[in-house]
Amino acid sequence: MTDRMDEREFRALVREALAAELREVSVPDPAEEWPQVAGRLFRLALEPAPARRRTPGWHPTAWAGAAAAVALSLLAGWYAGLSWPGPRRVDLAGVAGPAVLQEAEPAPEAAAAQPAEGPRDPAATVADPGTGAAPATGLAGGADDLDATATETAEAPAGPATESAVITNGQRGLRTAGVAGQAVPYRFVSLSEAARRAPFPLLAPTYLPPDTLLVRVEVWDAEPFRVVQHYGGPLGRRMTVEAREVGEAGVTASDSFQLESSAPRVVQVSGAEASLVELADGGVFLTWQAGSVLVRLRSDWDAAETLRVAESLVPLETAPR
Amino acid sequence: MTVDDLMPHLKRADARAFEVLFNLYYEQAFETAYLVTRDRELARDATQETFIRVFQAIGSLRDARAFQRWLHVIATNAAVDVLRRRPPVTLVEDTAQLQPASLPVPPQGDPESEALASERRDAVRRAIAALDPVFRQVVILHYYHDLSVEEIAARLHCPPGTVKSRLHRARSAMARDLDSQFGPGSAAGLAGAPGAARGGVRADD
Repeated sequence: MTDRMDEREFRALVREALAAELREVSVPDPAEEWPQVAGRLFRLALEPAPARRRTPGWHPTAWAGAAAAVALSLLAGWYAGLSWPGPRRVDLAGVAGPAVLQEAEPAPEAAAAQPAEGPRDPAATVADPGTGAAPATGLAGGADDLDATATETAEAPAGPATESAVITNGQRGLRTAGVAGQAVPYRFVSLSEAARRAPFPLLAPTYLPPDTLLVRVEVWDAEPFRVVQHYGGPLGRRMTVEAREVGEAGVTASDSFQLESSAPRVVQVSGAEASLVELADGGVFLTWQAGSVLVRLRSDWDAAETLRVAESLVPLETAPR
Repeated sequence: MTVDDLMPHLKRADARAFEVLFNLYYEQAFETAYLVTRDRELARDATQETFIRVFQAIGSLRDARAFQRWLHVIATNAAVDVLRRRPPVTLVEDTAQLQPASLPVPPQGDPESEALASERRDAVRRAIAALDPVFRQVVILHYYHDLSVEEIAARLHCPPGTVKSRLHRARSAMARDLDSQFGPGSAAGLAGAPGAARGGVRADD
């Protein structure tokens, strides 16, 4: 070690030393490590995006604009004779299943006033063959889900709140919707609870893509009664299975889709004719009628995987109360 | 199957493509993380973290051919972060475990030169192990993975001067370490001062 080391010698020596270091350690089996990584990715996908940090040193004109906007909002509220609504609160008491929403943002006025406008979710741009209203498949997730449900609020029939109501609207939202005293008629329940409540055999998948889990189940005590199952997979992929009663007449696979994506093609799902639309975002929308039940399956997986899930749907056995 | 083939699927967040990528590059990432952490369990944690970061940032990778180098930088970063999160207790133990007798001896060659080579290798291992993790990181990236100073700087989001400074300080620390074991001047080329002028190790090569 008394010789001077030149660059090449030093590099070779470092490499040799580090290679010797690596020879003493056994590399874990990637196949055993992958499930942990996939699980972490899955959890990351379910977590809400971190709140954006406010940038310091907001420009004075921005402050002035914000102040003007607040003043105009207050003026408009005063003019309309409305009181400040405060946030809508979600009362999850007595609700089974994963509670993913603790507090909801106020429903946009526009959404309440124009219930037929489609939400951001591409699936929601599919016209409901039965009612003509946009379905709330809610694949956009989190607050987007709530936006979609808020849109549904306006089309809910007037009447007393059901015992299962979980979201109490602010006064402002209720007045706008014209259904004062009524609450949004859906709740989060367990899958078995949904099966008990549903007036039709509730279908649940016996196959799911790897690392995909049931996230929540919504029961809509409205007309038509419907159950929406939300599934979440790795990397933010989602799948929604919605079942609603449509009666024997129901719909057929030839019902048109108002989508800019591919034209619907007819496929077979458990012997029934189904319409499959491959959406522009890479997802798939599949709908078919199983008996008196219209099933809509919106998936971020490809058509083959979605069809595999659809084929695996079986009626959930319900235990007597 | 290469990253080129996988890239379109990766950018569409195809979980299967990620799994293939994970299986293809796990070993490389683990080894890089291990060289920094020098602890198998910490390296496992760092490797998991590496792939989480890779999956989150794969969309920003413009050139698929640079994937491996990108991966190594992320792995060393994750390893340094893992080391920062845990109490600094095991490095000394690890260094003490580096007994020359535990190293595999090459089966061929002159016994005297083999012994000398083994001695030097062990000395360098101990010197690298004694480095601060951020210095060890640049040494591994520069001398083991052949990343240039500029590339390391770009990947670590720091000026090239910072990388050069870390390399220089790493070499100086290693030279001091080697001098203490083999006598003054034994590692003169490492420190960069007299040796560098005559072809010794330079930070900007």
